[in-house]
Amino acid sequence: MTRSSAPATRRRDAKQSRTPYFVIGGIAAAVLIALVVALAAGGGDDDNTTTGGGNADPATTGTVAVSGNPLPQFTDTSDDPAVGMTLPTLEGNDQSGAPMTIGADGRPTMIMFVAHWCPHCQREVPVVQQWVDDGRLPDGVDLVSVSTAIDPNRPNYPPDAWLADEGWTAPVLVDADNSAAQAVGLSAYPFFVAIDGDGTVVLRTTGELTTDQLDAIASTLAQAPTGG
Amino acid sequence: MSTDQVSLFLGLLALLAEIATVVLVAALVVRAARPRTGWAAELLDAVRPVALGVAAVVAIVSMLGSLYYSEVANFPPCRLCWYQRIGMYPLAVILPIAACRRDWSVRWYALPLAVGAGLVSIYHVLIERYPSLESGSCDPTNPCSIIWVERLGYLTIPTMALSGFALIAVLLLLPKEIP
Repeated sequence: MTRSSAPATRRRDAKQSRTPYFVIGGIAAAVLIALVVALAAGGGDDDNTTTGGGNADPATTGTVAVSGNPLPQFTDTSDDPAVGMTLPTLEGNDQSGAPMTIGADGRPTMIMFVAHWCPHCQREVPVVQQWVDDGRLPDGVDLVSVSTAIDPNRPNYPPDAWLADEGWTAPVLVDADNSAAQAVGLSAYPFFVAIDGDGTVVLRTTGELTTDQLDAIASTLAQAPTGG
Repeated sequence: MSTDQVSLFLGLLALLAEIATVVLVAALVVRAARPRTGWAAELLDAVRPVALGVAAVVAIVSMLGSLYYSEVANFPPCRLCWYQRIGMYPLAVILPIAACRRDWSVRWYALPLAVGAGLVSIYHVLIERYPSLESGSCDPTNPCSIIWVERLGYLTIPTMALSGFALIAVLLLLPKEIP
C-alpha cells in the first residue's frame, strides 16, 4: 500500500510544483500578445478623444486683443457685480482667420464661451444649435461664440473640427491664450455673457443651460436697449 | 511606442485583468458552493502560489501606467486620479515585499487600499459617463470628467485602474490554504 502510493504522491507533488510555472507562462504569453497587438495596431483612438500637435491654423492659434476694463471673476448669477458694467471689446479672428470683434455693436448679443475638451461644452453645443435651428433665437438678438482654452494635448482637438461636426453656425472668435476668457471673468465652461446693444452686461451664467433657460435669456435681451 | 500604442497595450492588459477577475470570482463561488468541484479547486490551487506575485506585478504595471500618462503623455492627473494613486502606489511597494516574504497577512493592509481606491475608480467612471454628477460645468483647470483616453469603447484611465484594483482584491481574497 505504502509502496504503491509513493509514486502517485510524487507525481501529484511534481504536478503541483509545475503548475505555477504554467500560470506564469500563460500570463507572460498573454502580456506578450497584448504588446504585439498594440504595436501592430498602431495609433488611433476609437472615439473623439484625439490628441495632436499644434500648428499655425488660425482656428487654433488666434489671440484676442482686449480693450476696456475686465469684468470681475464670476461667482454667482444672483447679485453679479458685472451686471451693468460694459463688456471690454474683444478683437481677434474667427476660425477662418477673418477679423472678428465682440462688443457694443448696437445689437443685443448672447456670447457663449466653450472649451473643446470640456464634456459639458460637448453636451451644450448641440443643445444650443438645435435651439437656434428651431428658430428660438429672436430676430433682434445675435449669438456669437468664443473658442477658448485651446490645447492640442487635450481631448476633442481641434475645436474647429468639433464645432463643424456639430453643425455650429454661430460666429466663433478664437481665444487661444484665454485673454477673452479672463477679460469676461470666466470661472467655468460653458460660460455665457449677455450684453445689450450698448455693450452693457445684462447677465452672466455658466453650466449646461436648458432650452427654456436659453429662451429666458434671449427674451430678456430682445427687450434690452439696442444702443446707438 | 506612441501614446496611442501604450494606451492600447494598457487597455488590453486591463481587459486581461477583467477576464482573470471574472474567472477567479467564478472559481471562488463554485468552490464555495460545491467544494468537491474539480476545476475550481484546481484553478485556485494553481493560482494561489503566485497570487501575491501577480498582484504585485499588477500594482507595479498600474503605477507605471499612471506615471506614463502624467509624466510622458502630459495628461495632468485630476483630483480623483490622485485619490486612486494614493491607493495604487503603496500597493506597488508593499505587495512585492509581501510576495517575496510570502506574507499573506498583507491582505489586511492591501485590501482596504484596493477596495477603497476601487470605489473611487467607480465614481470616476460614472463622472466620465455622466459629467453632471460632479457639477453642471467644467472647472477651467482640470475637471475629472475629461476622457483623456478611451479604448475598445469603454476602457478609460479610471476603468483601467478599476480593473487593476479588482484583480488585486480578488487575488488577495484567495484563501491561504486550499483544502
